[in-house]
Amino acid sequence: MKTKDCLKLFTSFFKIGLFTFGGGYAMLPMIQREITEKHGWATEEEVLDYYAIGQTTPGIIAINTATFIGYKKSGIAGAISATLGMVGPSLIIITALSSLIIAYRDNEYVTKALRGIQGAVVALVAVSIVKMGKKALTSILTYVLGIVGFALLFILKLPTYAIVLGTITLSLLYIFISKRKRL
Amino acid sequence: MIFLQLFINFFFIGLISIGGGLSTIPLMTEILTSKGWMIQTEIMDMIAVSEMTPGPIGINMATYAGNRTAGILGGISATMGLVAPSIIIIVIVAHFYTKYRNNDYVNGTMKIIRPVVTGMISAVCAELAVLSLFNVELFRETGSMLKLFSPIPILIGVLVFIANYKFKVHPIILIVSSAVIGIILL
Repeated sequence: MKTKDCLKLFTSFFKIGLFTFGGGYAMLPMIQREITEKHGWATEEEVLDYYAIGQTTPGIIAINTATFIGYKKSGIAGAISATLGMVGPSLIIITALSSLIIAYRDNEYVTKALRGIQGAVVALVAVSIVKMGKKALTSILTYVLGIVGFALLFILKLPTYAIVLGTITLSLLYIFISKRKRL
Repeated sequence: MIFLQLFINFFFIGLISIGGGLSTIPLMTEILTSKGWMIQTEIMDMIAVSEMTPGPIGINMATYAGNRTAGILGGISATMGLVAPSIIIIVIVAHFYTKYRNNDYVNGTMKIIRPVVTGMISAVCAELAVLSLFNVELFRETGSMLKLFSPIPILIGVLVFIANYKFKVHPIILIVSSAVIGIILL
């Protein structure tokens, strides 16, 4: 029975991976259709809960959510099946496409096309940043933090992991101290 | 052993990146360029391909980078490395998830880390913009301000930003059109 469940988890998440662009929030409707309505593996609230947790744990949100649902359904084997299903379409499509691009990188037309795409890439990343900013930048303090994050990487060129770990350490300390003050 | 190296490095990326797909970009860029696995223009190809194909962007980028570095098995190694921390951490968190969900430290830290990560992604975006929208070398050679700007990529960038942000045009359409404009005008 367990093998069958794992297989179903794999195919469901393969489908979700195949039909969602951009991951994260974009895949929620598809997850709800597959997981909640079709299979009844988790309620809508549970899916939203898993998604909320997936945002706070390290890693890709889509993968975190898939792993969570798979684990709740069939333990560690379920978690692995769901995750492998989710990455399956990417592995196949990207492998095919990247081999093509790498093989024809020096072709005149491909070079021009890629050069044209570069402007689009910067713009698309900028749009994502604006969207992230709308959620993350909610007060003067958060704006300052955003500028600090930018400056540490862009001007001081500190290693990324150092900035992330430093921020986490300082924020835990900050929360700890402000909790003590309240006591 | 390149496959093990890819796995370990992408494991580290998965472990450090908080806040979804795009938050992997700063560390991934840093590792890929410092190891000599990819140069910055190739990183833009990687982001383009990842935006226009289905699946989570972070996973698509890992598969692309692994493929570029060491072929099909490289793509698989990098992707498995990226998802491994998720599986380990989620399995642990799933056991006390109501407590985790309502934990002040978790929620407070998220409020602080999110703006910092947004700033860090902006920094990478600014670097890519300098590389693709400006022509610093030509400016140094000629000293002419006009030569500093690459007009067509800038125009494409502005149009794509408006089309995607204001009119929600799908990235596939925008990337394919930009490629066509590039072939015709560049």
